[in-house]
Amino acid sequence: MPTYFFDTVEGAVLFHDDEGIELPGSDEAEAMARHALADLAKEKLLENNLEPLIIEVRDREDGPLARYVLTPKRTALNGT
Amino acid sequence: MDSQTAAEPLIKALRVEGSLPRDDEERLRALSFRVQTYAGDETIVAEGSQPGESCLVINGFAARVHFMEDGARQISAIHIAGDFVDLHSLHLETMDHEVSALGACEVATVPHEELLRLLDESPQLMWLFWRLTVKDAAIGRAWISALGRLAADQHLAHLVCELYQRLSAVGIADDHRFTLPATQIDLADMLGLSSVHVNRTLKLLRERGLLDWQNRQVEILRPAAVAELAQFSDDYLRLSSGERRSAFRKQANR
Repeated sequence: MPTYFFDTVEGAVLFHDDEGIELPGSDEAEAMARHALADLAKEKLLENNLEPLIIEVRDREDGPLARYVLTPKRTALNGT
Repeated sequence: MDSQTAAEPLIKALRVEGSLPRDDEERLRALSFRVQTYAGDETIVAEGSQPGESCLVINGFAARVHFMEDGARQISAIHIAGDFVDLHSLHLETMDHEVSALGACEVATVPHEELLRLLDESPQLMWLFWRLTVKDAAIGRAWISALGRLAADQHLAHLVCELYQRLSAVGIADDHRFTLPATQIDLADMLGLSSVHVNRTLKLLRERGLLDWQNRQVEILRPAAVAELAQFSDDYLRLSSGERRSAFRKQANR
């Protein structure tokens, strides 16, 4: 099975994945990226951290495959 | 381990739960154990099967695994040496989940008929086996709460605290270290998280100097801080120390 790497950017903090995870193919790798982004978003939102979250999945041979970006946005409706 | 010594881890585990008279110990040793070795991820008891025997872990770790329709997996329990993993099959008509090896694992199986005879003969063993299932249920409740309500770092810390406590109670771990042959995927399936998030959380816990988990070796660097993060109290792992109270039972034993 090929190894896929998942790098994340949380605001100004960059996590470079140097371990990687073996997965059957790129569909599974992208599904993993979405699951990871959901996990990260849950954690950050509960901490009231609204920084943009980015996850990039790359393949050892072919380089970057896809980037997912999530930007939480709060709109004050009562002027606060 | 061979069939002669297969009962020893169970005897050790039962002694944690209460007193074990010598004749009961001998009864356990006399069971006809069949010892089998499994490689990591190998199925020990299949979902949907109707086992005529129960299995206990004598070396290594086993996991209870549920498979979802989309192929997702959830691990609902980890069992350590001495755990009578499959006491359930004595009561379940059909296995509603799978038991598989978490890393290489040695298991001993005992025919149900022999177990039933054992329980007929010894009220004390009945009492101790009952306690094993009560403890399994208590651990299950703690896992549900952690799964539903703890953040990733807290949940990982909780898992580590619990496993260390259980392993050290039967003498398999000390000095805040233990070996757990779980892959990142196994861990993700225990914690209900993506493997990527598990990796990230482990890295952060290491950076915070709380625990180190590399190459299947776990070391709790700051035990008090890890327990506090996990909101861990070992009350659910320690059953009352009271023995059976029924006077009738005492008489019956004479």
